[in-house]
Order: sequence, then C-alpha cells, then structure tokens
Amino acid sequence: MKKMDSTKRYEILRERMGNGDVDRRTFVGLLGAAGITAGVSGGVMVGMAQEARAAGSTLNFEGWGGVVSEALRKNAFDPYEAATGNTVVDSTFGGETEVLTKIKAAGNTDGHNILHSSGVSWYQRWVDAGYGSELNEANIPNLANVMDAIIKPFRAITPNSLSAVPYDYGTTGIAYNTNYVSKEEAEALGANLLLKKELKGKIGGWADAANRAWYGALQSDQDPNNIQDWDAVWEKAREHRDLVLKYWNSGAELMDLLAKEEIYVTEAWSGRVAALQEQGHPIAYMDPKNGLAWMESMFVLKGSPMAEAEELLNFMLDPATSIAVAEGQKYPSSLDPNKVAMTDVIKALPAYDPTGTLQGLVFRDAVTWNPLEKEYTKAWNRVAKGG
Amino acid sequence: MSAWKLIRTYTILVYVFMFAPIAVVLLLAFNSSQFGGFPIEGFSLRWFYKLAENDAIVRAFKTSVTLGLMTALVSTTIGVLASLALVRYQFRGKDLVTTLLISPVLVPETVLAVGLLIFLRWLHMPRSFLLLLMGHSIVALPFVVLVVQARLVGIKKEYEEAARSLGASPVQTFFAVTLPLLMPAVFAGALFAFTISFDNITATIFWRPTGMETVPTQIFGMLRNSISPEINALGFVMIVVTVGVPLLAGGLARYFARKKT
Repeated sequence: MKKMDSTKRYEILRERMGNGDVDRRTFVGLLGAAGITAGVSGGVMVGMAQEARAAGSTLNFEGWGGVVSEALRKNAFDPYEAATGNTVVDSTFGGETEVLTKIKAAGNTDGHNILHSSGVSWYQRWVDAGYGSELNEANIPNLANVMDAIIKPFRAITPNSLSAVPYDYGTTGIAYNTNYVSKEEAEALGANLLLKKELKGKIGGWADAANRAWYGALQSDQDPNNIQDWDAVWEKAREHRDLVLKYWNSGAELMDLLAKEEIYVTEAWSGRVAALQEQGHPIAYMDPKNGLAWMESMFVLKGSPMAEAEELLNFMLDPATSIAVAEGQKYPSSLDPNKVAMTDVIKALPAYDPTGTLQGLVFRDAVTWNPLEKEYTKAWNRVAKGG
Repeated sequence: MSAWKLIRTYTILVYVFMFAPIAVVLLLAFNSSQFGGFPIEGFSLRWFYKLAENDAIVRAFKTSVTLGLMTALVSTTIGVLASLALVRYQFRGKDLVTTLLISPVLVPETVLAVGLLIFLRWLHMPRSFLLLLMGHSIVALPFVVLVVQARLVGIKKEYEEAARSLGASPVQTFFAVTLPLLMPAVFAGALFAFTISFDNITATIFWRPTGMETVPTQIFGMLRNSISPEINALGFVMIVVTVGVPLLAGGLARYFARKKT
C-alpha cells in the first residue's frame, strides 16, 4: 500500500465534506486541529517528519549534475512521481567519496537512498563498508532486459542478491582532433598516441590516479588487470606528464580543452566526445586495445525504503525511460540490444556494444584494484608533482 | 620621478593580474559560443535566458540568498556581542575565547566540516538547513568579530560612561550610543558574512541536507560530468552579487554619511 501524505489526506477530507459525509463544522474543526497540531509540534516534528518521509514515500537520489541530472529528472523522476505519487529528491555530488564521508561521519545513511554509482569498484566499496541493501529482483521485472554480461561482475561480489542495478556504461578511450591526427595514425599508435613527442603541449590527460595507472599499463604493454611491473607504469606516466599541457578534472574541462583546440589528443569519456561530435567538432574517438570500460549502477543503500526504491529502479529500467536517459547523457543503456530495440542515436554512441556481450570491453577488476588504491594514488601524486 | 612611475606601473599590473580573471568571466557571459574563449564570437544574452529558465539554478540561487542573509544576521548578532564582551570587559580566559572565536579561519574547512558532522552524530541530529546555517555562521563569525573589534577599540569608553552618568541603562546606552557608532563595522561584518556564506562550497558540500543545493554546489555538480554554458552567466551573477553588493553598500553608506554632515 502506498503511503498517504497530508495533502492527499486533506483532499480526501474535503471530498468527503463535498459528498456530505462530513458536516462543515466537523470539517473546519478537523482542519483547525490539524493546523494547531502542525503549529505546536512543527518545530520538534519537522526533523522526525523528514525521517518518516525518508522511510516512506520520499527517495533521496544523488548523482552527477548537468546533463545527466536533467536527463534523469525529465525522463525518469518526473514520470515516476506522476505515476506513483512518491517523491524523488535529487541532488548532485562531486563524487561518491563525498557521500561515503558524509555517511561515515553521520554514522547512518539517513537522507541517502539511491546513488548513481561508478563501476564495480564502488559497488565493492559500498558493500564492504556494510551499506549494501538486498534488492528483491521479483519487484524489478525490467531487470530481465539488462545484459547478463553487465550484471555478472556485480553478482560475483554479492552472489545472493544485488544491491544495485547496472544502468549505463561507457569507456575512457582516446579522443583526437582529426585536423591534426589521422585515423590511421591513431589506430596504429593506440595508447601510445598520448606519448607522441611531436604533439608536446597539445596532449591532455585525466588527472585520476587509477586512470593514469591504467594507461601507464597499456603504454608499457601490460595487462591492466594484472600489472607486474609498476615501475614501468609510472615511468610511462612520467613520460606522458612531460608532454601534457594540462590534466583535466571534469567533463566540462575536457570538452572545453578539446573544443577550443588547446589540446589535440587526450583520454576522454566516451559520452562527452559524443556530445562534442554532435556539436560538429572534428573530434574522433577510439578505444585502444584494453582501453578502460566502466559501468554505472543505481546503488540502493541499506536502510532505504526498499519497495519504493525497487519500483523506481524498475521504472528507470523501463526501455523507453532507459533509452531516453541514455540519449540525454550520451552513455549507452545497460539494456540488452538483443532484447530491446535501440534507437539510431544510441547505436551511434561511442562505446556502444551491439552484441550485448561486452566482450570487446575490458572493465577494471575491483578485487585487484581496490586494495591498491592508497598505493597507486600516492605514487601518482608524487609523479604529478614531478617525482 | 621615474621610480614613482615604476611603482605606478607595477601597481597597475598587480591589479590587472588580480582582476583580469574576473573581467574574463564577466565578458564571457555575453559570448554567444558554448565554449568560453577569445576572440568572442558574438554578443548574446542567451545564457542569461537559459539561466533564468533553469529551475535548479533558480532554486539554488534562492537558497543561497536566504542562507546568506540568515548567516549575516546570526553571525553579526553573535559577533557584535562577543566583540563587546572581549573589548569592554576583563575576564579570565579572554585570550582563549578570542582564539576559539577566530579558530574557524585557522582550521582547514574540511576538518571543520567533518568535525561538525561528527558532533551532530553525537547529538543524534540529522543534517538540515539549520545545521547549514549554524555551520556558515561559525565560518563567518571570525570575520565579523575581527572587523567589529577593530572598530570598537577606537570608540572611546567615555561616550558610554557619559550616557550612563546621564541616567541611561546599559541596554539604552548600547542602542543609543555604542551601536550607532559601531554601525559601519556591523554593516561591513554583515556583508562579509553574507559573501562568505554565498561563496562557500567545501563545508557546504558536507553540511547540506540531501536535495538542497546552493549556487556553488550547483555549479560544481553541473561541471563535474559535462559542460553547462549557462555557468558563465551564473558566474556573472555571482560576481555581481559578491563584489557588487558590498561596493554598492559602501557607496550608499558614504553617500548618506556625506548627506548628514
């Protein structure tokens, strides 16, 4: 049964009065009593009411801002609210570290329900920290349309039940300006295009430590999920550092640098390159061999109202909604193209896998990478500062 | 003479260095291109229209203004009273109290932010607008205290004593003598508090309840993943508010002061 909010209760009361079920005196009396209760208890009750709402029909969603947030609000949350009467309070974050810090400092997950979570690494981190929930998959029938290949890594971490549903995926490949770099050259050099000395001062890179390590592994001919020689990785990172104009930190910065031709080549998020291509910029995109693929999930935190959360997830995985959001944020949907017909826009997105098997993509192995996080972050910080 | 010229040129260069980035943001707000850069492709107000149409930003703007005004009110009230106590009275532990009041400036903001969150956990209080207000007031308080104290030291105690000797109560003395003399500093402190609250991002990220965005957190969220060109127009509005309001207030204060004499 759905929870009734005060507005609905007053509306029913008014309707009953209209039908003659309640006389005017009782109606006004009840309204007055409601007013007094609200007035007297307001201050004390506001906090408790907020908590009560969080446990009932309000879902707090945190995710990326900008186009992603707009796409989700327009295509998923607004229709969900209209259909169910529940409320989705959405807000933006700068990253999941921020949310984890807040939850750890507060000691509970109050005010946090669903996160637009990055990849399997973060899934493992949330689960290990004890914040994983147990989704009842029977309440999410649209999960059947999601690619098996994209669910598999999540199931490997929590075999009994999922805490999240995979929602979209993308790659961090290489973007290059076709006015200065030919397709043939780019494909021949692969990840080493980022080390081309002739392009010194026109090369960019993502400032993220894990990404630097991944590309260092590619450039030193190692399997990024099984790095044996870390010194070689950092040596390549140093080589890259000496050629780089700027390391970017956000999607906005990446797009700005490429669009204004301040840099010609860089690692890039596939969706952002798709946005640039749509605007007519001469930017091409390629996934080098073993290029980094990642997926994003909708993670439900422990303590959330599960039935409502599952309903929202099912709503978000509805083919029409999922495809609309994917077109908005320019990352392919996690739905299996063999089961759900994709639009031409989605088919044209970089990183899109028409087979639905994701076999051409390499994801970060959370079991290998997560325990190394402190080490590689420290190592990269040193390299970045000239070490 | 040439030395003076050199100093003058140097001073101008320092000012250019300081204000050029701000001028760039102001100019780019009117650039018709999505990507800010020079040369400007064409003059356009379209980002301002887009800004006004963006509900999330408008909501964030309202939150920031409300929060800023309330922070100014709370921190100025507490700051003025604290300054009075510190300047006018002698008591044990005065230095310690002064240090405590100033400490939010000295402690890194992230530490302060997480610290307050842990304190709230101990009190079993959830994050709320009230917490955000409390937090911003703590961050703004040192600036109010410093400005008001500096002014208060210059106001001779004799004025207050004269009022008291003529039969005014301490409260009457404060409102009739001290406060009017202190008003420029109170006003300056309030403006500081408003702008500090309006600009704050680090601590706000930690303290805001879910679903609440201020202008800086909204900008941060919008730029993290993708590009939102209306940000340039928002930058213009932010600069006008944080620089323009104090300038306007200062100008008005001077105008009225001149009118009085």
